[in-house]
This record gives sequence, C-alpha cells and structure tokens, in this order.
Amino acid sequence: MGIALIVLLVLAGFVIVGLILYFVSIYNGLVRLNRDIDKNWSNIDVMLKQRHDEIGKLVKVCEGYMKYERETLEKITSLRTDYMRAGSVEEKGKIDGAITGALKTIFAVAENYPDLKTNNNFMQLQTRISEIENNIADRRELYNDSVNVYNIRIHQIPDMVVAGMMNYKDKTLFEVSEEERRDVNIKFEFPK
Amino acid sequence: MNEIAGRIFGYSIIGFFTGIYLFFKGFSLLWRKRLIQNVPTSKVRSIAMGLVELQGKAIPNILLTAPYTKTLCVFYHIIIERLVRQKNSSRWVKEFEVKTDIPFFIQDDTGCVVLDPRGAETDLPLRYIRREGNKRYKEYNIIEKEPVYVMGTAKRGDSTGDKIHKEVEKRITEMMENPEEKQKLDVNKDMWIDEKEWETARGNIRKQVSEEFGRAGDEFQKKARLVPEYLKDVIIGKGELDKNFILSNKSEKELIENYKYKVFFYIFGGVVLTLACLGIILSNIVFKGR
Repeated sequence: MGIALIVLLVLAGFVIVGLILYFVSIYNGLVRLNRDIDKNWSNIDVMLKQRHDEIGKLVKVCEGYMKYERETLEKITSLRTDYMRAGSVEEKGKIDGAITGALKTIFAVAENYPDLKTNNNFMQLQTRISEIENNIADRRELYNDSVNVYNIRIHQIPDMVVAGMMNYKDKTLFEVSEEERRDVNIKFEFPK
Repeated sequence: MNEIAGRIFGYSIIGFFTGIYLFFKGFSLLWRKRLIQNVPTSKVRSIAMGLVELQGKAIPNILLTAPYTKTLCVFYHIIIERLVRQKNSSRWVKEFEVKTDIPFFIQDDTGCVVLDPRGAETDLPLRYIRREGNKRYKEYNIIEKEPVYVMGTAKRGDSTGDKIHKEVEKRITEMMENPEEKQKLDVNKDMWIDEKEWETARGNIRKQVSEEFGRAGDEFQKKARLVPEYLKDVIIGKGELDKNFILSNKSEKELIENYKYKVFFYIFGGVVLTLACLGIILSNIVFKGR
C-alpha cells in the first residue's frame, strides 16, 4: 500500500470522525436548547403561579375598600381562574397580559382610596406583585431569547438537517398581548 | 537513519499524536462556542437556579492588590513559568499558578449577585509579563467595575444559620481534640465535663460565632446593598453537574469570535499536522525498509 493511499485513508478517517462529532455537537446543542426552553418556561410558570397566589390576597384586601370596583376585581378573579385552565404558551401569554393590565388598573384606581393606599397589607402586596411582574418580564425576555435562538438554529444549515431528523418544530414566543401594550384604562365610578 | 533523520522521525511521532489531540480539542471548543451562543443572557434580578450567563460589572467584596502590577482589583491570576532547555529546543513549564478565590459581585442594571471564582476557566488579557533569568512572570486581573462575562451555575449557598452551625461544630471538635482547652470546660473542677458544662460551652461558642458572623455580615451587607433579599444566599460558581464555568472580561461577541478562530485552527491544524507527520513517518519506514 502506497504512502499516499495510507494518508488518504487517514484523511477519510478524519472526515468521517469529524462529521460524526459535528453531528453529535449539533444534536446535543439542539437537545440542550429544547430543554432550556422548557426550563425557562417552567421558571416563568413558577413566577406566574406566585403572582396567582398574591392576586388572591390582593383581591381580598381590596374587596373591603374598593366596593365600587367590583367589575375590575371580578375580572381579575376570573382571569386568575382562566390562567389555571390554560394549556398552551400562547393561551397563557394572552391571559398573563390581561392579568398585568388588570393589575395596573387596580393599582391606578387604588389612588382614589386613601385608606386602601395606606393599608400595610396592600402596600406589601403592591411591592411584592411589582417585584414578581419585573421578574416575569425578565424571564419572558430570557425565554423569548432561547426560543429565538432555537428557531433560528433549526432553520440554519446544517442544523436544519439534524432538526428535521429529530422532528423539531418552531416554538411560540411568549408575546406581550395587545392589552398589556395599551395604556391603563381607568374607570372612575364614584358613588352618586 | 542518521541523527537528523532520527530526530525528525521522533518529532513526527509527537506531531502525529498532537495533531489528533488538537483535532478532538477543536470539537470540544466548538461545543463550548455553541453553548455560549445558545445560552441567552439573564438579568441578575431574575436569575433562576442552574446554568446562567450574566454580563455586568465586577464589584469587589474586598479590594485585592495584584502582586506584580500592584493594581487594586477584584480578581487576579498569576503564573510563574520556568524555561526548560532540552538538546536543541526550549519550552516554558508552569511552575506556580494562583487564582484568587475571594468572592466578588456581578452587577448589572437590575441588581447584584455574588460570584465565587473558584474553579473558573478564565479568559483574561495579559496585564503583565516580566522575564528574569530563566523565569517568566505573568499576571491577569479583573479591576473594579470592569465589564465581565460569566457563564456559571446559580446555586443556593449555605444560609447564615447553617454556616454558624457548621462553625460551632468545628470549634467544638477542635476543643475536644485539645486537652488544655477541654480542661477549661470543667468549670466545677470535678475532672468530668457534664452535660450542663457542655451546654454552657456550646452556648458560649454559638454566641461568639454569631457575633463574629454578624460583624462580618454587616461589612458584607454594606458592600452588597444592591443584592436583593431573595438573592442573598445565591452564588454563581462551578456547578456539581454542569462544569461549565467561564469568567472573562471580553464581551460575548468577542468570546465567540475567539472560539471561532480557535476551532478552525485546532480542527484543521490538527488534521494537517497529523497527515504531514504521518507522511514523514511512513516515508521514513519505507526508506528504512529499502
């Protein structure tokens, strides 16, 4: 066997091993990305559930003071129930936006109830919910970043080939709903 | 085979295996590059447990003085190398290496978190190099408020209560091993340390340790005013399962660029080196056979 042939065979060996390693690195990378998206979503879900618990307390505190805002309180209570029933990211995203909007309304309207505004429990809950809202916003950004990286990867060559073999499909972004984008709509319903 | 041909043959064997090593190393760097690209940057305020990527400024817990540059910094890494001469070549051999293990903070626009640099793989610019005889001194550091990139594991450290408990147990063990100290516990001098005396000793130690921790904690808290309450016991460091822990003062983009060139050099360089060396080895064997 000539030297050139042996060198060529070794080169072919490198190409084969290289291709296998490259495939493995793409495969593992995609698996990790996919799992990271699930993990990032779970991290949002944890915060959403914490907010869910705090909303229950908030509604209880507000009920005694905001007698004329029944509609807002009822709305947030029903949204809270809807969230627990929601299944997909899209659905949860929509309800989350609606809850954020309703919370903004509650906090804005609370300005008209001096007793409520100075209530210790209310103040604590307001701070806590604001913290949770900030956390949700950050984690949503992180989640969307991972989804974006994943969606780009599965459409790029050569990842596209491996993603196709794994039957990986586009994931949905956790988008800010129209309701959340809108300014707070405050309805004053003073007693006549 | 003459002496030169023999030497070339020897180097070719080393080159052959080095090439294979570089080839595989290149793939491990490729995997690392993809990881940096795939993990999005978290905000400090909302970090979740597990592998995280952070970008922020380095804030000191204690300002350190770097040994060679005398710069006040939050972290330094020094290497002392010795020049080893062989027949016709020479190479630098690492003789001594120190990476500081004092925790510092990473601060971004949302908050601040503690970083434990132990076990970090650092990628820092060389800030100092001096040659003295056959020794070479190098220093890398991170100065205060310098932008840093971190990829590490966010985990819960011991709470203050746990730390106090561990320290109390440690001091009691030390006391039991020291006959003189043990004798001091025998308050009624009956040559026997009864349960009450043990309890008193334990209570005193706990009080002393708590005070010490309180003082240290106050100092730490003063510097860590930006650490939110829920992040007080969170540490970014090397994970037990995920060993990836990178600390650099380069931006993510620069790091990725860096890896890109390294991956190319290692994989293709490795293949070329292996094939070239293999060619030399084979031709040597063939000629020798003739």
